[in-house]
Amino acid sequence: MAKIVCKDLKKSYDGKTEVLAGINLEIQEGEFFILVGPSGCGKSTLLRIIAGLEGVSAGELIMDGKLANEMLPKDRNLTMVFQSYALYPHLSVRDNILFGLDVKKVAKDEQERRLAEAAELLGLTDYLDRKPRALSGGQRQRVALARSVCSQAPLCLMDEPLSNLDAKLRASMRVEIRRLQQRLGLTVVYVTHDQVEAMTMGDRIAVLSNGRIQQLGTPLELYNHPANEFVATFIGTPQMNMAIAEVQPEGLVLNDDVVVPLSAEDRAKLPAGTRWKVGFRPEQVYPATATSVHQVDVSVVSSEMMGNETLIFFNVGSELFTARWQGQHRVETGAALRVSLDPRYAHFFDVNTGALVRAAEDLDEQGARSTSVVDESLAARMEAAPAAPMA
Amino acid sequence: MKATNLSRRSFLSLAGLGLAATALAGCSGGGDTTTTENGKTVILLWNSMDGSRGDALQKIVDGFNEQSDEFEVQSEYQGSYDESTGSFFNMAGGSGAPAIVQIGEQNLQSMIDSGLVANVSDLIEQTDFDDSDLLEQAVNFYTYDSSMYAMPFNSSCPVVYYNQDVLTEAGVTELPTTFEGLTAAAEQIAAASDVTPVGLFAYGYAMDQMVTNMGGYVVNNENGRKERCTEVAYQDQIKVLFDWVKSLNDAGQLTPFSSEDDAISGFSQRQCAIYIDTSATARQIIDAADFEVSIGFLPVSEGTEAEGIYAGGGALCISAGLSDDVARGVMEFCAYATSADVQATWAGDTGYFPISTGAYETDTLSKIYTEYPQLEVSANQLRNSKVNNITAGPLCSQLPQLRTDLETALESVFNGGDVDAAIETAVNSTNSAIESANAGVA
Amino acid sequence: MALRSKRSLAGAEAAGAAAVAVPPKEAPGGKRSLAGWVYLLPSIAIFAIFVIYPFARTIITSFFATTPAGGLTQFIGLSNFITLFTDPLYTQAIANTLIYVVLTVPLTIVIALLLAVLTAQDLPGMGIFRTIFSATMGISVAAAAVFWNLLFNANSGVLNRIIEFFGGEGVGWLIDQNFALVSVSIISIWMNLGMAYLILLGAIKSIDDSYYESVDIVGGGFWYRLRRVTVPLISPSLFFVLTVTLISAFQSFGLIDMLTQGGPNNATVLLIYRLYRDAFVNFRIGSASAQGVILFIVIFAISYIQNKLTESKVTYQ
Repeated sequence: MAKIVCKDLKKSYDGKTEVLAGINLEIQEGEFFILVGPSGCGKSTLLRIIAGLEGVSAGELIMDGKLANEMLPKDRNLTMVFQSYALYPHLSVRDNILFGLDVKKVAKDEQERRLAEAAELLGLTDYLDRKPRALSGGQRQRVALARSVCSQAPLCLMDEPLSNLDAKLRASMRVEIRRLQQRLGLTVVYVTHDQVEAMTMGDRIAVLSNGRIQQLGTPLELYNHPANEFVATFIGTPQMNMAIAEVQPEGLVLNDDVVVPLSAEDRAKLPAGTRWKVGFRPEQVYPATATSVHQVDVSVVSSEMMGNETLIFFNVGSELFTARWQGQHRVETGAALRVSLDPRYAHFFDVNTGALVRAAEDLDEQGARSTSVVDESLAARMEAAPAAPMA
Repeated sequence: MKATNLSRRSFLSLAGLGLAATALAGCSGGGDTTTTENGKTVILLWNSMDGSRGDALQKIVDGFNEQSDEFEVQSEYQGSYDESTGSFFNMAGGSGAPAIVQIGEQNLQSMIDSGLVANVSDLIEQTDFDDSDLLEQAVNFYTYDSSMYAMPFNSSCPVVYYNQDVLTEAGVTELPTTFEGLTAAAEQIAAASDVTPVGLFAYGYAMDQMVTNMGGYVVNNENGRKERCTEVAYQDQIKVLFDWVKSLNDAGQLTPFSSEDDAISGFSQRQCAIYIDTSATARQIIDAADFEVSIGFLPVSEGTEAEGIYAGGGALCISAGLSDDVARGVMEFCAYATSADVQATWAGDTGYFPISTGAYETDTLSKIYTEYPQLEVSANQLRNSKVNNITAGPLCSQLPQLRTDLETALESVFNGGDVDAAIETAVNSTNSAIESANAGVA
Repeated sequence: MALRSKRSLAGAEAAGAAAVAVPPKEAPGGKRSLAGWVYLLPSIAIFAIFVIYPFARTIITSFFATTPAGGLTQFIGLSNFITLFTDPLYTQAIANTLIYVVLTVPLTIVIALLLAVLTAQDLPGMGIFRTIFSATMGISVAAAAVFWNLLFNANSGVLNRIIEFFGGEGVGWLIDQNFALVSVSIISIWMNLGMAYLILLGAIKSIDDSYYESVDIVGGGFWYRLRRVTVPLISPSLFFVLTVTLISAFQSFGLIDMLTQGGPNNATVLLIYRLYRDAFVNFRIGSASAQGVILFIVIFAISYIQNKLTESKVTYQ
């Protein structure tokens, strides 16, 4: 039985604008479920509805098989980690972790046992007598997590818990939270605006925008088969390169600027219609080789050396395209560049609705593209380096 | 370099001192005592007459200003007698201090002790003031050590107010003059109507007047007139009074009020039929009541003669150290204010009775007394008083404290407390206050 | 001057020569602090005249016998103080003041806190209640005295009429010596509620919602929330309100003067009222100064104790 089911859930504050416009989803037990989307998409509202802190305007919320629309938060057997952690400044770490156990009438020795366990799990044993203001951001985070662990509730809701931490800490906490969830078998509903967190932590992701679920699926499903333009550009960093494509006699014209030559085979494989929105992931903008069919000439706007890869920016019409090449390539600004844009690796979207028309072809096992022959030196380098996963 | 530093330093020092001096400039003391305006010398008068009494006083001031070419009196309301006395002490002769300040009779000793008021007898001699017309009893109060220290002006005395309608209904034919008579009247009223016979509020002034009327000294050393007083002397008379109050209270014939305003409204609303208050509010009460009001003398014990009352109310103290010119103007104003016609009109407008003997002969006053015969009663109570140290009234710097202590004692009797214990508390409190006050003047 | 300039020139040269090696000097301390003092001087002057001097003068006067105008006559040491402490009316005033403070301060804070908690919710129409409860801040002591006097009138006041309507017996609110202090306390609490309420309401509104939501999730009720969340998190404001209310309770004069003048039977004589009477009605400045000193010590001691006891419980964020 699914842990949480939302049936056509709607929420409106003033009766006119719908903050949630019909949410349908199922969250399984033990799942790490992520709600992701830009600010104002309704993800926090949905989380608070699940918590019981907001009411439902229409539709059903079913938890553990029971209708939960009117259920009080305390009856829902859940725990919540807030963005601000909600640590009480006047209580010590120990009392903060144990917060609420006295209301649930847990025995004193049981409380101590749970406290020791949680403190051990999160590395807080030495800090139990400190006050929150004497802790660093990461430590405070862990106290909030310890509180949730102590409550031993099977469902844990998290509202952007990592957004107050610096990047490095965020990266290590992501791992820790995921590990904790798997070890304790918790069902976690996690809200974030950061798609990196969503991709790395979630079992399944629901992408929300304007109160609707744009797509629900595993991280790879979202990455490889985005349901619409929004999901395609939201997931994946750097962002997918989008352009308006028209099929013309000379080839596939992108943004009335760059022309991608098309073979007859290519033309046959094109989806229905003559005009689409196409998207190329940065890693699918290959350096053109002597034998590339789909090569185009562009002029470099700028480049960024990341150490393990290089990002190269060039203009297609008014859009700035990003190419992501493995290894370190010295490319000069303004230099001419030849890249390969294979329509097989493009995602085609309806030009009006943005819905997916045809996704890009899947990669083979080695993760390399078979049709584009790479440059000699590049090939040598690529053979020497182990195959890096493209996700 | 150094030269610049030095001059910067001295500039800073001077600037700093200049700033500090400016800040302190507001604290200058002293100043001249007379100012002139369109040629007339200004005489500043501080009064404590509020409401309609203030208007009546302004009439007198305006009348004087009209007929004087040389002087102009400016009258300012300064709060109660006690408040204006306090302010007067604080001014201590600085600019803005008044030439004349109106005091209540309880402030006389304090004024004398402060050394800030002039010897009025001297001024009378100096300016050939005719004091023959002043009421003897009034002069008697404000005389100490053979000299007057204030000019009598507004006299009042406590009287007994009666709701005549209720009295007639109860078959009370004559206004009582003794405590026993009042008790009898109370019985009749209680039997005939459901109005509580007697109402009282703790009024210290009325109490020490009643002590005087019963022939007792309020304080020792002949009311402080022979020598400075050192302790109270009212115990016997107050005991009689308190026992009477207690008996009324026990019989359920007494309703206590919390203040004068309360008592006035209570009496007007028939919450009591008899109550004691100053004659100064007589006019106000008579006009406001929708029943007939009678006024009677203060009671004494059966078989004793009424000694009389002292001229309480207010008087005009004159500031010491005035220039000859201003002193002359002050005495001119006093002459005007104590003249027969002015006093007669003043009496009619307020309820104070005239301190000028001549006033009683005027037509103005006869007319008023025809219209308000009750007002004549209060005047008669004073005029019938004997003239001796008993009716000179108490002279004591702690008179306010004495009155407060008596008021406290009366309130405890209202609440059913023991009469003797209450009197003893009052006596001890006042005596220790007098003692420490005397130490300050020794 | 010329001599100095020459020397300074020579000095400048020498300094210049060494300038490369030696870091530049700041203005010497003496000159800097002189400027500082100059800027402070006006403030210090005003403070000294209007606070320090009267305070010192009061202490001095308390050791003397005085004329009615306040002049010092003879040194009598602690005599004023001894007289006060052996005067049963003064000790009664002390007792009255303590009772009054114990009645008004805790009740004001508790009622203000409850009202603030109740009106902190954002329900429709709450603004009206918030306005009503803070409205007493704008009422002057005189106005309050006038209409409470009417309410408390033993014969015709509204309160007694209501009581009698329900069959009870009217109370002598202001004329019964056992009740007068309570009546004055009631008015005092009512008047001080406005400010205390407003400050506490502001503090409560500034508490982050997530603290309360946390309690909702674990299942705490109204009192749990109040005890564990609201009170600790507004403790700085509570501390402030407590201190201010405590000190002003010792100084509350207007009500007494207008309503009861210390009566009935000295039941409502507070320390400050006794001081006023002795100073401005009886003109016993020496005794009044001694009372001023005693009052200062009492307020200081109680504030100090209150501070020590409660400051540790305040959590600042």
